Amino acid sequence: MKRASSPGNVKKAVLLVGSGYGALKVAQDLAQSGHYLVWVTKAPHFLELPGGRASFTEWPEDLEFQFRPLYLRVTRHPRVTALTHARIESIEQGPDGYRITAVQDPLYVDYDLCTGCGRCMEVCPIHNTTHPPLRRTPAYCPSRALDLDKRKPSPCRTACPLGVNVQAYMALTASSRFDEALDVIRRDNPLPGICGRVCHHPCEQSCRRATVDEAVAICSVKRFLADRDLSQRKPRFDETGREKRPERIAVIGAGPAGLTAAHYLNRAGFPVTIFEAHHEAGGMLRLGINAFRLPRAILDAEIRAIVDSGVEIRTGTTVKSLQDLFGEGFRAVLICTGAHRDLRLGIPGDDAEGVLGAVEMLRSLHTGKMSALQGDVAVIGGGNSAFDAARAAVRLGADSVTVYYRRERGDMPASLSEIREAEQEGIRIEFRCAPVNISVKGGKATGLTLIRMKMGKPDKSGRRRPEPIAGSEYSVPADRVIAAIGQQPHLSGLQDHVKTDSAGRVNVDKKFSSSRPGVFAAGDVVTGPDTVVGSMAQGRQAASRVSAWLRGARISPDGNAETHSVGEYLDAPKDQPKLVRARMPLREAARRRRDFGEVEKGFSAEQAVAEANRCLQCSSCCECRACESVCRDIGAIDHARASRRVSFVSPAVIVASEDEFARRDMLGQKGIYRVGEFKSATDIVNVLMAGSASAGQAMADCLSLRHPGIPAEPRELPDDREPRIGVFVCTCNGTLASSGALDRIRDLAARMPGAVHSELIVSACHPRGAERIAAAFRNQRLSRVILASCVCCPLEFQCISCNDQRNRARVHLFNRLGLDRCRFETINIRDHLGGPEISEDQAVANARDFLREAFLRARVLGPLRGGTTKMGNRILVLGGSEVGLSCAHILDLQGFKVRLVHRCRLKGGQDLPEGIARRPVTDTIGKAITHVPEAEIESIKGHLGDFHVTASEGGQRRQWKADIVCLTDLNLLPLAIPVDMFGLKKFYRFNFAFFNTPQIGVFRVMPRTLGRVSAFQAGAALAAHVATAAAEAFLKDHELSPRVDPERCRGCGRCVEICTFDAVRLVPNDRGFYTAEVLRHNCVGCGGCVGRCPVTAMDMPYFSNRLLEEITACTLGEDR
Amino acid sequence: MNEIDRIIKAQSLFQCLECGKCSAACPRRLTGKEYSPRLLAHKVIAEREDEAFIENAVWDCLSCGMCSERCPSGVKFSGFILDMRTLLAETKGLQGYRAHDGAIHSWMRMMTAPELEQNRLDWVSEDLGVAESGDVAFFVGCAPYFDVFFAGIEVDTLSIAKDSIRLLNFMDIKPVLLRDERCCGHDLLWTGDRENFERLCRLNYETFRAAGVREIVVSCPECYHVLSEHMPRVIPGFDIKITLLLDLLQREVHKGGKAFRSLKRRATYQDPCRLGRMAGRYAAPRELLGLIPELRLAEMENSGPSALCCGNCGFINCDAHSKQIQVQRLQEARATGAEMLITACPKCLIHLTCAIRDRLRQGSVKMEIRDILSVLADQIAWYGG
Amino acid sequence: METSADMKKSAGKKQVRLLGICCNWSPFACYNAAGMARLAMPPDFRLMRVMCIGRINQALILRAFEYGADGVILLECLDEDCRYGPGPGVGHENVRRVRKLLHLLGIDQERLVERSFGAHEKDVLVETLWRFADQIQALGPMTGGDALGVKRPAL
Repeated sequence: MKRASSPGNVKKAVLLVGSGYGALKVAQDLAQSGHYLVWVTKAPHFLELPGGRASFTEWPEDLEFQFRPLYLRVTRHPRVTALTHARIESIEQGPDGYRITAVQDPLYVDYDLCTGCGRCMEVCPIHNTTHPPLRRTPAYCPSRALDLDKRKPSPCRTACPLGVNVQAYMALTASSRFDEALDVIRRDNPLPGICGRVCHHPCEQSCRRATVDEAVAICSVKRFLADRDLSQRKPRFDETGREKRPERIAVIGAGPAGLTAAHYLNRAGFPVTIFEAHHEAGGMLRLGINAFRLPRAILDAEIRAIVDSGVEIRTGTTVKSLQDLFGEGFRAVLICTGAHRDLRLGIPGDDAEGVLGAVEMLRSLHTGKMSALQGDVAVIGGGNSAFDAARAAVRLGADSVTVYYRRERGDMPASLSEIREAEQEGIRIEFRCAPVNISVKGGKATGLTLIRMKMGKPDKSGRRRPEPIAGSEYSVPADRVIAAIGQQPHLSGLQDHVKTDSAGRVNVDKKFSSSRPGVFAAGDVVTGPDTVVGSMAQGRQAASRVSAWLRGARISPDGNAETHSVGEYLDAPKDQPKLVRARMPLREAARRRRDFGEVEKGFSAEQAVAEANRCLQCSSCCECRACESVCRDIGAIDHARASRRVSFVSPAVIVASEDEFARRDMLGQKGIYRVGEFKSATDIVNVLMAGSASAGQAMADCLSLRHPGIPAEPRELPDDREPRIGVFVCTCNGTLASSGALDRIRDLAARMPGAVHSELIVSACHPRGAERIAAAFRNQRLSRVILASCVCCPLEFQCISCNDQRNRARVHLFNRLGLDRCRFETINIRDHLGGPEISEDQAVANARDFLREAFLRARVLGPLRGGTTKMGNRILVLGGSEVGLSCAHILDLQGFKVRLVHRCRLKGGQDLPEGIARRPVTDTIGKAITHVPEAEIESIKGHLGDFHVTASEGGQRRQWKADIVCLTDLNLLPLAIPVDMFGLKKFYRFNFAFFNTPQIGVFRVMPRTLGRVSAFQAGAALAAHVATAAAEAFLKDHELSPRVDPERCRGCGRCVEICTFDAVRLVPNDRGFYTAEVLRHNCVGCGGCVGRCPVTAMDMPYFSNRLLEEITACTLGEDR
Repeated sequence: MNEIDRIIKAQSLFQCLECGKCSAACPRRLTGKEYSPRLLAHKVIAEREDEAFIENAVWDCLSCGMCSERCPSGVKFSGFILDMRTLLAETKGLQGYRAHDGAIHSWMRMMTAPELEQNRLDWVSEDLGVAESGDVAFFVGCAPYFDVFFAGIEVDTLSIAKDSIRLLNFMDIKPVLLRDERCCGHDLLWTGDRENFERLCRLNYETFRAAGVREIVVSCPECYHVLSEHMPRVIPGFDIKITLLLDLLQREVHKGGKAFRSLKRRATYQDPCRLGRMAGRYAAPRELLGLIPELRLAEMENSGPSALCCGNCGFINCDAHSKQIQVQRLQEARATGAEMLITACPKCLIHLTCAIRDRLRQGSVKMEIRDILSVLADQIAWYGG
Repeated sequence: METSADMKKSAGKKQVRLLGICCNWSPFACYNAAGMARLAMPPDFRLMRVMCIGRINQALILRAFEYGADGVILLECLDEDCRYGPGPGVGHENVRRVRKLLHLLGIDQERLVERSFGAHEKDVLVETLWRFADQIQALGPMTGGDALGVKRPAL
């Protein structure tokens, strides 16, 4: 959640585990009492209730709002490192406390940067599905940041040798965003049109849709996208951000591997030249694959695209010597010559005329050496090339074509569609037979003798080994025997330059480097015959190795950034309707067998979209990265973000939700505290109390961790008659209004009287946005700033309508960059300019009204109250109940100077509870506590930081000074200003600080909270709260607290009557009557007293009398 | 010729001898406020560049008229203040801090709307004899408004209006009450808002004419001050007779046939500045009160022409000093041994009552305050009745 | 500025001027939430925020009318929710008093209303504002729309 901006690399901090209101309270008490804190939860935000929201008995509908200020204060507290999506990796007991390592899953959306503008959701192709990957934190959480749900990469993607992001282009196709879809493919595959036809698509084998009905027809969708693109324009690659490298590279062979390698080397910035022996590029694609499967137009177009993007291809050039290439200035050579030499049958007569290899046959066909073929044709083998040869033979006019295969149909490597289509075209297939002899007459083959096979034990390929059946020989007529039993590489002269194996394959290490430095090899020439996509993958990997080698770098980024996503696939919904897989339309067999026209017609757009919609989107976010593109200026979204590790030492650990704390065994141990028993916590107040209690206990262990804050100097406004006003309009990543409207608003502001600067900024809550403002503020020597964003006010406090973005903007501007808030006027036009549906004119007009008011306010701005008072650490605990004892004890351990009065009475007040009256006074607890056995308390005077408590101790009158007074026995409550604190809503007033009395600094046990927690816990909680008040060592005035003009004040006392917080008192003046005086320490800045004053002798900052009047005038004035 | 020079001339400020009698008597000065009519006069004449001082001083004045009263050379100081405020308000905008955050001025200004149709007479009950039409109208003034606004401090200004009508009835006068009567504009006038003041004058005059009345009876000294002195200057050919109720009573009582029931109280009388120093009515109220048997009227230390102001005028610049004046005044009243303080102006009633609320002083300044007309109305009777 | 002129035209009949005086807590939370939810507000409704309705006095409300408001609505917290205690009470008292003054002035008391909200009631708030706007629209602009014809002296 928080990253660099948090207190960097925390060395020592308290660990808090879990989410919920209890945890929130713990964090508040610890942070505000000066302790560094690492807050870890697996939840996406900190309010997820361990007990479950439903379990709370007392829950006013607006309660969640009431916690917003607390949430913002704590999660953005400089001492708090708050980690969502995180867990404890390890925790060991060390000499100086627990050594802890916490891990935070990658935050694909950075909580510190996200403006919540929502553009990412608009562009996400799967946002309007049952499981949108991008979601806002729930309404009750004041963060508007988004959460991105990412799972492990989808099976289709991992199955693809090229790692093409299938899920992404399915998602985009499903929403008819065809161009983007194709771009996704082209990222990883430069030959989509070719692969869309001839790929053996392992993706479809792995498709999880098959568990519902049938696998998605991924390959055909890819073909549709490529064809559509080709039909519209020449295919092109996105050329952005390419560096230029000097090193020239030679690639030998323009087949799938060579082309792919050349493409990626070229993209990596290297000048690449491909040497192709044949007079046309394409290698096996062109020579080995039939035109009716792969039309030459497609092949040419996609090769052309690669050439156009800068790859040179020298066709008809056979490389005889590598030395020459290096001589020519090439720095590296990549051999991708493939495997073009057919394996011979190795039976009698296989050298006769009419006997030839499949590749040989196809090559002569495709180079025009063969145009017709008569008689009976026998094809040996069951692979794609067997069927390519057979189907070619049919089209060349053979009388009969039969394929002989030694295993079962299911064992054939050829693709099912290939086999199906071949049979439709009248090709016979005989299984379980192998050739043994070719009968020859006059040097020409006339027939073929085969032997029947039976299936034996499975071999290492997992297929059962065929064994001949003795005496089952039989003969068939055959004018042509075509051997399609495999090919092997053939280096035509280069073999003596690099080491090869028996099968003629080039030996390479895993870096694709051959025996000779600078010479690499990839594709079939290394692996032996492989699939198209397999060879391409080889080419691509080789390319990155070559470029790494040339750069002398480690593996170079090849545009496919590592994804760190984790987590299981989404399950297909139970009620997922079954849908048949789209069928590929074919040309009618009788017609197609006569020519070489393409057989498969391809999908229509409707088919493609429907098919893509069948995709289950297994890993939620499909990583199409559309969101990244709209978030570029903000940079909140990064799909390649890594997880984060925080290691620190903590003397104490607080567990707020046990199911997030794996080491149950540790729970009992010293220094490990639990926030109540949550599953049974049914009362919010109880939970908060438990939170404070455990915070208090933890504090006792953390004395060394306390760092009191230093207050900021109060700022006065310069007396500038002619203010220089700068206006900044936050466009919220361009979502505020149309760019036209934005420009007009900026110019409008620039024209307003007093404006010297007007600027549009991408985002005010973004660090860079804030920095722009700060820079302009200094460069333009501005004296007032108007910030038009979603920020409502520049004040320091957070209110219940605040959210993280608003708060963050202020933290950046005022806390981080040190601008003074009293020079700022902020207007929330983000939320009140009017929806996106309003016209540009309307938007500008509304903005104008906002700005007029803002300019007026900016002129009237006055200084905020910024005084501070030194605080001591003298704490007086009145009452020796368990509450008092534990409170005093814990405070003592924290180094406060505690005076504990064990038995307190009030004159004429209630008597002591029996238990306390009879308990023997022991001064064993506490090192530095001053114990007073018994006293009668008369009065408490003064204010936080300076109380005077008068008491009589053993008939002797005493006056104790204290910075804070705690009333820990119920019989003392009359000393506190009485206020009804029963009923949850009463706590709103005191920000859920149960111990507050209207007199800040006098704290008391809450009858309501006693009995909910043990007296000991109540004491600890009270101690925690006292620490939050005392630890800062300085007491800050409320920025809005009013001033009294003694020359005007008539001492009528209306102000005193209205104030609930006892923040105004009347002091006699030398005129013989009273003058009102504001007790800054008690004031909460509501301005009630200001409103009541009959002679405007009182006025407050920011909501001053003058301001309110001028605002009224301005918003209603005739000139409006 | 410069506007200020014109004012100086018009209010004969040049006659100032800088003797300082004014400052010595000025109640503002009395409370230790940095304020001195003499110095102001001096600055305006000799050091006009010290605008800050002049402006503050001009708005600080209570316009109680004590200075003019004491001036041996006839400087019309109050008039000078009035003109200066008008001038400053026009040139630099209204200044001086408004009591009650200007609520009172606000409604007074709202009354300048010609279309206004007020409901200001709901309080008129059966027992009050009023006429639909006639020669004589009674000018109610702002009593109904104050009655609402000051309900918080228990001042009942409306009863003054009721008692006034009872007194008129007693003298066989059934006054016409004007539904669309506006505020007399006194406070706007004295806070420099001349334009709105004149609007009010004109509207009021139209109302008088529309009702066809010839004479307006006024109970409030401020209304009387405006209607009798300033309105005629605004309305050319102003032809309405303005009568002060106290004068009318005095006349009628002299005619005989009327007497007062006895009231066994010790009382003292507060001269309102608009009635005393500005209208010279010192005798009338005392004579009338003197007719009440057993009412023992004691004079305060400062009374008659040197009576102390109630501390505020026109609801601006009410402050600690005003309070101090009020406290002092109340102490003077108590010093006479009176149980009841009788005043003749609703504003005095309001301001002094406000001061009495003081928590610290309640013991020493608490006393009953009543308006003279209420006292008279309660005690008046037929001869031997 | 021509745009706002166009607005007025498009709005057809004379627009009434509405002022909302809004407590910073529950009502403002509603108002903000409504804005974030892009709920439409009545045209010509302006909001003046204060920390607490207790800050408001009779003068501020009266002045709104003096300065040309055709309707004023006080947006308050529920009595028991007030962060500071007395706020809503003060609101009730001010409204009660000012309404009396308005009556004296012959101004329809319905032009001044107060409503209180819980922090979660954004829809209620928006609905209330529209109802308020309609109500004032029905009463029409005060005296021909140009406020009370009051000449406001320079401040």
